[in-house]
Amino acid sequence: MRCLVVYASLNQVHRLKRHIYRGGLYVDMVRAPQCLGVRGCSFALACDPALLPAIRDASKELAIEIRGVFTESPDGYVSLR
Amino acid sequence: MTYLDNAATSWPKPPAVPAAMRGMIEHAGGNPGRSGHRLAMKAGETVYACRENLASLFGVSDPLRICFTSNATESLNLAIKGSLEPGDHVVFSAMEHNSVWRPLRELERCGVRISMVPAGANGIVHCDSIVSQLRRDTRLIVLIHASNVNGALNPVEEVGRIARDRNVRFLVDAAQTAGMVPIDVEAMKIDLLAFPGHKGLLGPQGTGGLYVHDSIRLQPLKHGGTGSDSDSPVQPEFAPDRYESGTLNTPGIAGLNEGVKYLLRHGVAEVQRRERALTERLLAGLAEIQHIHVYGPANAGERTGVISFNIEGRDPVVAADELDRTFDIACRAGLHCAWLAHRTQGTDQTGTVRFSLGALSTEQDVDAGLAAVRTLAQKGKR
Ligand SMILES: Cc1ncc(COP(=O)(O)O)c(C=O)c1O
Repeated sequence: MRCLVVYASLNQVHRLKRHIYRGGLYVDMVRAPQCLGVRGCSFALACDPALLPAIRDASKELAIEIRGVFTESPDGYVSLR
Repeated sequence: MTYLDNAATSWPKPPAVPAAMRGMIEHAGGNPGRSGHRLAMKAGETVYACRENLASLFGVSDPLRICFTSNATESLNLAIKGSLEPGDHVVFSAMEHNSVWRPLRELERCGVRISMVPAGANGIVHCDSIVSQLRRDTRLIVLIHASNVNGALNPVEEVGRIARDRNVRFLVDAAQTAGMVPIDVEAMKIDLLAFPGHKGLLGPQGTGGLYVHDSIRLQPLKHGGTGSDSDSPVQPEFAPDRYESGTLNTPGIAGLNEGVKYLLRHGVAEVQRRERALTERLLAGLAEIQHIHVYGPANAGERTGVISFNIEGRDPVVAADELDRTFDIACRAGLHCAWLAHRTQGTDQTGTVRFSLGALSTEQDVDAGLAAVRTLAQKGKR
């Protein structure tokens, strides 16, 4: 099951992805599903839940606001905060 | 063709530039930041890579502070109109291009107060003259890094220090230096750096950008779709989205990315060293020809490879036309969209012939230019 960490724009997602990659971790980028309800047309980093702390740290370090964190489940998406 | 018109746009480009543009259209033709499919995501990756490469070229720590535009004119308009409100005061130099002078004159009609700082006879602007024009309500200093008329290089680092000390925003027009003269926005204390993609950065026409310091929030020039915060009626607050409404010139940016990669590989300092040697060769050659008047600093260390001259008794535009048709030499004559600078050097009535070198210029280019000018000068008045 993946986690989705949602941000406002693709530009921010790229910056984070590259930053995290330099730290030796790989995360994917996807359009955030509309049903997450986090202010239209968002993009997200998709990752294994184990990588969530690294993503949160990177977001803090680069001062990029996280708009929502979700896990995929058979019933849909569950908000983690 | 001997190409000596790099100040207008650089040519030729490194072969990777057109190849990347073609590749983008054929293999990654999606719209970055909009859709989530692979073609769009691939396009987005190239756009971001270009931001990152531009950031490392200019010493910018956050690539998201690089905003794409379609040319230096748009960047300058965004920086100037986005910074100034009625009642604000702005200081600029007598060497500025029309893309600075005209927006400022337009804003003057709306209540912005403008002060022009003179330049020395060689085109260099002195810090003291800038300091003497600063007032309590000065919001912005705009300075051309190097003249597009006579190559004169301005003391950007010193002006940056003055601006930072006085808490005045500092905008540099790097149209003639980006990719040709090392620029570090942190060290030079530049708040806003406007640059074209199609000149020294070796990208295609239709590309440009603006670096915006992270403490600065400009009013956008355009409003519209950004692919972000789409449920909001107002522009996003965050860069670059705030300033990049509408679909980007993605093929152009792919080409620009290759131009910037070329410069990162070769080093801008090395490009400048090569160009300086060619400038010295061109200046020395012109000095040996009778009936030629060369403008701008005599010392290659105080200038770039943009060299304006006149051939006694010859109209510069007619001379440039003859250089093209008879000698297969491309250059630009006239006022170079910079009447102010021509007025400063006393050529506003006549204009000049301008030879301008680039990263891919060669000694053969310089020698072909010199041989043609020698022949024209010897042929006498026309
Ligand atoms: C000094 C200077 N500023 C601004 C510009 C405008 O550049 P662009 O044609 O990319 O809008 C030019 C173009 O020649 C220039 O030389």
